[in-house]
Amino acid sequence: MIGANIKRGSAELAILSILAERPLHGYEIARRIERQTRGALRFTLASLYPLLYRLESRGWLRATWGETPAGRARRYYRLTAAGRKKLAPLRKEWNELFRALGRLAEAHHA
Amino acid sequence: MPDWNSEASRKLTHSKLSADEREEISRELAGYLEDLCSDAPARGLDDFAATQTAAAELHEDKHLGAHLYRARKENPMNLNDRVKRLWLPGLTILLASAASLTIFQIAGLRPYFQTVWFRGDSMTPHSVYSYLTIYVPWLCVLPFLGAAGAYWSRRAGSSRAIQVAAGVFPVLVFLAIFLVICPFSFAFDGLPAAGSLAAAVVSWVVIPGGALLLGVLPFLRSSSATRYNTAARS
Repeated sequence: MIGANIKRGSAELAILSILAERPLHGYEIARRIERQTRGALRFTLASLYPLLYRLESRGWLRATWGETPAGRARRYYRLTAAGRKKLAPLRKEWNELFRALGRLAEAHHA
Repeated sequence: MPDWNSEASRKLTHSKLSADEREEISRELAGYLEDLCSDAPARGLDDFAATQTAAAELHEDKHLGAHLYRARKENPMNLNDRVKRLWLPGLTILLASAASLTIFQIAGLRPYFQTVWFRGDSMTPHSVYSYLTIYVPWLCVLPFLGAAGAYWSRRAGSSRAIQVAAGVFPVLVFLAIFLVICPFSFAFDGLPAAGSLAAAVVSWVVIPGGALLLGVLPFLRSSSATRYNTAARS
């Protein structure tokens, strides 16, 4: 299980990455992240929405009301150009961090 | 199933959110909670357990309203964002509109003049007239400049209001200039100045503003008519 601080730091990356595929509403974002990380990252309403609103106020996400195929109104989030631009360096930073941690773990084993 | 909209609204009652914000956020949170409940069978939960889980998520954070308020207000446009989203596109289309007008004038284009009469009052009983100055080819260029400004601003991640401001930026500058000039002209020249100023405002603010806005409008429409397919949810 991943620790709470790392989770908080990676939450932005998780949301931006999942929305890079397609626009989604809040519940779909939470479930997809949970599924794709096999439960390692799990958002609840209280952890998800403050983060979504923060990313929206930074201009990285844009939200619009739309309808699900069942006709329910939901607020859909999608990545803006600014968010897409932010995602690439963020991914790079996290990859570097995980590679560095991997090297550290290997050195420790050796 | 409980009325999640009312539950969420009650949860946000004591926050600093405005009534409109509270209503929109309540609707959104209610949607999340409804989906959580409808998804319950797939997660091996019965109705009662699903409702309990949803209620627990809603009440998990005692200060949810405050956190949502801070998240919404936390990051107002900083200087760098403001430059990218408003000043840069706005000033560029201001320069482009001035350059295109200059080029038309150098090419020998003459404006179309429309006479406008202003009736006198008891202080100045005589009527005065002024001219609306209309450069038709220039007005034809402005929608493209308005569209460019709005597109640029949108690409930088701005809100609709900022997109509109960036798209009609040249006339906002003209308007600001007229607002500064107006009190002095009224004070010194009275009605004749009012006539000329009104004609100038129509010529350089109202008509060009409409032309710029024509270019901005398609960008506003396309972002409001979004419909997404959510069939991929499994």
